[in-house]
Amino acid sequence: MTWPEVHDVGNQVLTVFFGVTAPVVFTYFLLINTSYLVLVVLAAGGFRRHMREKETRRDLTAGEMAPGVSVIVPAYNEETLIVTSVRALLALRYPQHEVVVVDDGSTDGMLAALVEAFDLVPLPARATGEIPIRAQVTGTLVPRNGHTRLLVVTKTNSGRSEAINTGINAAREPIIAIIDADSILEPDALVRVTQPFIDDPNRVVGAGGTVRAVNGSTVTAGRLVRLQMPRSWLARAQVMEYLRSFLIGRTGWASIGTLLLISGAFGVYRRDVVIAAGGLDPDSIGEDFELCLRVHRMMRDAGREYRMVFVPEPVCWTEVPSTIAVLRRQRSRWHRGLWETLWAYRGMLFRRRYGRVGWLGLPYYWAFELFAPVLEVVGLVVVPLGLLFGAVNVKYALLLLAVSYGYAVVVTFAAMSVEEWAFHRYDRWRDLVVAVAATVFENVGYRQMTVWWRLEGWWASLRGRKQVWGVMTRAGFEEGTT
Amino acid sequence: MTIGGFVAVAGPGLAAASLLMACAIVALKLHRTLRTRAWEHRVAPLREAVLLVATGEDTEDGDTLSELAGVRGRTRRDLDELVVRLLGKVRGEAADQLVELLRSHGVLDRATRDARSWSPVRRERALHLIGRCRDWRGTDVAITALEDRSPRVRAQAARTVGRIGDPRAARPLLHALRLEGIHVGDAAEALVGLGHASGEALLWALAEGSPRARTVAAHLCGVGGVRMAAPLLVDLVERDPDLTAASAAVSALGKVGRAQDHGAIAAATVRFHPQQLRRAATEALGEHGLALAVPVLVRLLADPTSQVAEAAARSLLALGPAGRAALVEHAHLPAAGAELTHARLTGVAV
Amino acid sequence: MIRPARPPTPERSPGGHPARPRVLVADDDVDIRDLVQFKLQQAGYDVVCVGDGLEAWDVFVSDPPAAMVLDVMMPGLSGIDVLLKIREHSTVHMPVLMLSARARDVDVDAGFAVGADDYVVKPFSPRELVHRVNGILGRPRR
Repeated sequence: MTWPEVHDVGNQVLTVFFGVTAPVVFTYFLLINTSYLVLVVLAAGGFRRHMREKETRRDLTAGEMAPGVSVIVPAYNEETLIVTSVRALLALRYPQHEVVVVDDGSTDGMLAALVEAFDLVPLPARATGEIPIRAQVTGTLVPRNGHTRLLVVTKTNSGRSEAINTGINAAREPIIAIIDADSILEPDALVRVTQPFIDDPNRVVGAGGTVRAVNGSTVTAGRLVRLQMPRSWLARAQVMEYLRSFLIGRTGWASIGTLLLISGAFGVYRRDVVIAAGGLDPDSIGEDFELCLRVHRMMRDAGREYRMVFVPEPVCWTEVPSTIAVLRRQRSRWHRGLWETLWAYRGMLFRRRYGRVGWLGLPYYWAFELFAPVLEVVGLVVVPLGLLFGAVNVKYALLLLAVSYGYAVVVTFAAMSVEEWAFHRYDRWRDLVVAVAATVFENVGYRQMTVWWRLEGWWASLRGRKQVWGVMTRAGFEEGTT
Repeated sequence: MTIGGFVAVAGPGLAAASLLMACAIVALKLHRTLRTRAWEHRVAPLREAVLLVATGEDTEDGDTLSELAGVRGRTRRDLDELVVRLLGKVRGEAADQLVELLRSHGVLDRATRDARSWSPVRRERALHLIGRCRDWRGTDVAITALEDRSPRVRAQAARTVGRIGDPRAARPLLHALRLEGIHVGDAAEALVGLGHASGEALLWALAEGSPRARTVAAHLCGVGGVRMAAPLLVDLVERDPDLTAASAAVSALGKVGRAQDHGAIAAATVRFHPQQLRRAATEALGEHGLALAVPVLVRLLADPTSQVAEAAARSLLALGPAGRAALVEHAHLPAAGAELTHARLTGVAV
Repeated sequence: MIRPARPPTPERSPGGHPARPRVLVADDDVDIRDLVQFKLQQAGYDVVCVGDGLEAWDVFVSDPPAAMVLDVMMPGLSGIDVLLKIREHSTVHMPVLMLSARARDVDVDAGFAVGADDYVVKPFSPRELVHRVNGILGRPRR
């Protein structure tokens, strides 16, 4: 075929295809960006409430009715940072908390480092706990002084979710806080995230803390000393992404009582509720999302009044992936987890019993989180092709561009101004300028990359599902503890 | 409109919006920095005088105070802002002096008026100020505000009545816990501030309050040693449909319960109850301190719910020689063994 | 109280006149800093103010004062962290008073546990603070 022929066929095919998809893609972008904008507005309200409250409440002292908290740290081969990390956790300001480190069958010197640093001695076998564990729990150690509230549980390797479940079993306090070994917490983190449990003890069952990127900042002895924008653009884009979709998104959702995702990097739950729900699902890839939905379903099924809340104040800082390879794996896994969980909980969609979760939250996740990459890809592939074959009007392409990425930049800017207004954590002017530039890069460049990775994850899952259909155990732990 | 028209509008529109937002961010930061700086500049000349008053270094006759009281206009607003800020940071005589200054400027009168303003933000601010100044003249206003339309105003009112510390507020505060807004933690702290005078209100709340009011009241009856509450607490343990309230009640009963309340506490450890209640009840048996509890706790040592078993071990340890003997006897059970080892590490003789 | 073998700040200036003892005040709240500084100056102290824990540590290392008033919650290093470092690295006893909004018993315990000589809760009474600073320095009360 000669070029003119190819051109003609291409033109016809794309004209038809574009005629069908164009309105869908157009509407989709308009809706998703508008929904973000609505979330920004909702979040602004949430922040305002939060800030006023912070101003007028006496200094947070965790107060009269503070419940005990078990901080659960699953760790695998974290020899280099575990001691610093545990010291920082033990030093968190809270009237009653213990640290439970679960050694997930580490092969490095992590356990030895802990034993030496805290002078650990073994306890005789303890009660096994309520969540069934497939792996073997091999021992429990405590500091010899009997006062330092540290518990180290060792087990054979079986992945992060089981490690957390082991920690929940071993926990001695009524509230559990699940964190990653490399998370950096604000000294006040526990006081802040348990505040909802104190303020409304009869109803609050779970709380999510804001997780933000720490790359490029100064960290001393497990504490954030000076916050700065990261030096790499990849990390900078993630700073803006965390801001827009996590901080703003979750504050917005929580303000209408539909918080569907409590991040695994820092989530706080009532222990009895998690146990009643059966703990984390070791077979799930999106285990934090899955647990959150399971708790929602359980509480709604039981017809109990409950609340899941989100604490917008930054409390937990984490190193975000700084290389394409790691980021790609992370995003691919997140999307796979999202798909598998949404699919498993499809029964909650549009059921009266599940209220806003079933009518608003979940449909939103289906439409704007799960299918987002598909529709973006249509836009990204078809429009340039259409232009090439003359099937797409240049003006139309520009319009689409404006509605998709132009609008998105505006929304991210809006999110940023809300953050600047409420928390203004970055105090250098330079960081602000970098943030403005990163906002543009996040929407043009970075976001398109993640689209591919997310599709990869989804595809892997769909394909994997067919291959291992009916097999109970899937190899979901290739990531170790990333 | 044609597509071309759309593009012509959307493109520049979005570009303008982006630019506007970017400017807004810069402006926000600039505004914050400049505003703070300008304000500091304006109050700088007054600062020393205010510090003199706030640290109690003013002359006997209060010369500086009267000088500051005479300030007028915009400077006066700045001055009041500074004083309110300092007020949260000092106490004692120094704080009284600052309140006096605000009163002489009519700030407190204004706050009492603002507490009835149509704007919830104003009402909230006014109540906050009244609380900061611990102005007892604001008691009635604050009590009324406990039933305000706005949840945020109600939340602030709870803190305000706590700071003023007038015991009359106890019952309205507990009653208002049925509404959204007031934080249980704030209410508890406020009621602790109201002290013994709130005892009667606590009893009322146990009998007739909302679930949240019952939870707070039960907790405070336990902590504050309100022994009269025991019969009401037994009632909650046995019948309260709200699990949190029932658990708080059983914990309190462990602290203030009479000998005859042992049965009620022990019954709450029975297996068909939810874990939260059982654990609280098991701990309460140790706190209650009757040797009668030993056989019950020994049975619980083997409980499949680990936190209940461990709580039983801790309670046995707390029960003195009889409890410890039982614990040693059952040292083969995981919960007992772990607790014994732990006790030996902490230096408890067992 | 154990007096250092050689006082960190000379009690007498080179000229032979009695010098005002120097107190370091570390707090991230400028109002508290001003209040404490003002009151201590009135009481006959030289006062150095810093806004965070790292600066406080720097001052301690480069030019140790006679006593320190530390806030607990500061950006960078907390007052507790600074105190821990001081007690770890220094052989002479530095009198330290913690000034903190943490009023619960556990917080006060934590302050004394890491080696504070005294602990004052915010909101504080300026007059009381001076007495306490006199106290940790072993000075007669005014």
